[in-house]
Amino acid sequence: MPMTIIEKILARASGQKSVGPGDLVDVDVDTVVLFDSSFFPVDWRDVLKVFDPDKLVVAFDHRIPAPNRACAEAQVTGRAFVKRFGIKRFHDVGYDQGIAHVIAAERGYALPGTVLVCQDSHTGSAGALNCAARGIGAPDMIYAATTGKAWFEMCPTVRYDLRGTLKPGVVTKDVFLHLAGNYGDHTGTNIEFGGPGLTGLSISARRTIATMGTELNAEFSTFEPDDVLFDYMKARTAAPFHPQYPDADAKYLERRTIDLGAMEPLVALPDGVIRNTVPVNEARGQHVDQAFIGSCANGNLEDLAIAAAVVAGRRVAAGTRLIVTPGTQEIYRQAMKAGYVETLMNAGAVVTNATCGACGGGHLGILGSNEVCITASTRNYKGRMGDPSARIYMASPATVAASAIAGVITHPGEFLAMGAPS
Amino acid sequence: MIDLHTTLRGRVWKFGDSVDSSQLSGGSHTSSDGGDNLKGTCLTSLRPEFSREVQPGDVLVAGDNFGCGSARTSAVHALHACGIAAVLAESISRIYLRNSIALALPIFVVPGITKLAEDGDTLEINYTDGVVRNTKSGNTLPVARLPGSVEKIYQAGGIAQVIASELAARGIVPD
Repeated sequence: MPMTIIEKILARASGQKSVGPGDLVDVDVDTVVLFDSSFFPVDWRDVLKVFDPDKLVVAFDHRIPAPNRACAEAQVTGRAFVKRFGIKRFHDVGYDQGIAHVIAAERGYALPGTVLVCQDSHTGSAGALNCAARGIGAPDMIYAATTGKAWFEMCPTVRYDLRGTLKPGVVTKDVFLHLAGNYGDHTGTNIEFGGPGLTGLSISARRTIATMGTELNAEFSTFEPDDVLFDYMKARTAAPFHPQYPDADAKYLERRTIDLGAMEPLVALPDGVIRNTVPVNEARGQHVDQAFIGSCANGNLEDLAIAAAVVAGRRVAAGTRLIVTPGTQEIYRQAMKAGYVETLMNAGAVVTNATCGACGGGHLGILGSNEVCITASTRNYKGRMGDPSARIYMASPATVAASAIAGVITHPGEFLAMGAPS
Repeated sequence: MIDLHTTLRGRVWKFGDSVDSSQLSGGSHTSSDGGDNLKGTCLTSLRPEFSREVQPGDVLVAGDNFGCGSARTSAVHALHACGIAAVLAESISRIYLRNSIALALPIFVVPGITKLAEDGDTLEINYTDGVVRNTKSGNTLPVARLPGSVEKIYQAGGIAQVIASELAARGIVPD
């Protein structure tokens, strides 16, 4: 039976010739990722055994360095767990620190054609690496860490063929906002990305889309493998992997073509992204108290680069604060070397350590009552980043940086050479 | 343990589409909080009276994508803290569904449920017969049988108990 990418990966992982929509599959898991929140007493159990310590990754990310005693205690528990089972791939506060999903890519832990699970909802991020990756919640994550197994219900797949090239100043966050606004939610379906337009997209740019697949309510988001991916993997790991391509006659629920050259900067209005996006100029002029750039979706080096290009030689508006949180300390170091951190700080941005931080309303930028935020992160649900009365707009790092400079929601074309604003 | 075969009768609290986990358990009330805090803020952004008036045994009816957003288990613990006996929704976000099963909160995908019940109605859920009935209108909808592996998790009282018994069967027990 012809198969899509995700069907091929999960058929292999479950030891079957083929799988298709409606099947419940039991798979062997290749990588299990834990983070600091995994070790809160409410979720954590005294684990007696792990199936294979070398298949586990522990990356503290949600609340680091610990902002309160409960978080500090969870990290004490996590460090003891790492020590007890001899887990080598441990990313504690320090040099190797970073957001687990960014680490999984940056360190070459997420291998093409393999299965990766984590409790966190944005685990689908590794789908950019041709990996069957998704969040499964804390209890099922403990089951996977203990037994090496997970189950999935197979769903039909929607295929997106990408063509053309993004215009300067337009990024894959805008592509995601286009999908959310135009096609709405993808509940009960997988998403597959391929086509000639992939060539022009870096792995980080693809990860932004794969991460945000969660916000489309997709099951698995998976990208076709190509030379960009193989070069990325070769630079990071010698571990064997098994890239999977879709069969030419694979069955899709629907097949849609996206012309990347036609994409424009978009913004999602508060409280959700589904069918809730407009061109930036339609929200233009809305005052913002806080502008945030970070998270597993937008804490990449190129996100910091475009933000720096927008703010270079300018100052964040009075009455507005710009917070920038790199995805990993490695990205932070690279951004320092490239001069982005200096440019951002000279503009008045606060550059924090790598963490999930403000994205989840955890720390380092929580919103107060009735504040307005524009964010290049993962979610804009009511209350997501702090007080439920705060209003959160979502956009690309370029649009967020431009809005921080102007103090109001602003098209990045006002500060970046990218052609006339639409 | 949860006996799915015990017939449930509960008053309906009805919500719309895409009730996300931030509304069930808000940003500042996540994993590190206890049950009281979770109950006090649960769904109050959508229905301010919910946490005050909800009674043990009530049932929650919702539209599409129930539980979307963050994977936080506190979004399930919050409904436990409110005494919600079961969730019935048009569709349920995958991680919320997994967490509910793993934490033994009865949860059912029932297409058409938002048309079967209005807020304040009473629903009778008979899992054994595979039927949910509105006691006022008498109208019914089918409730699909869950896979055996999922029934086993409810019987055990959650996935943690399943893990413990699978390990115990291999001779791996706490010191």
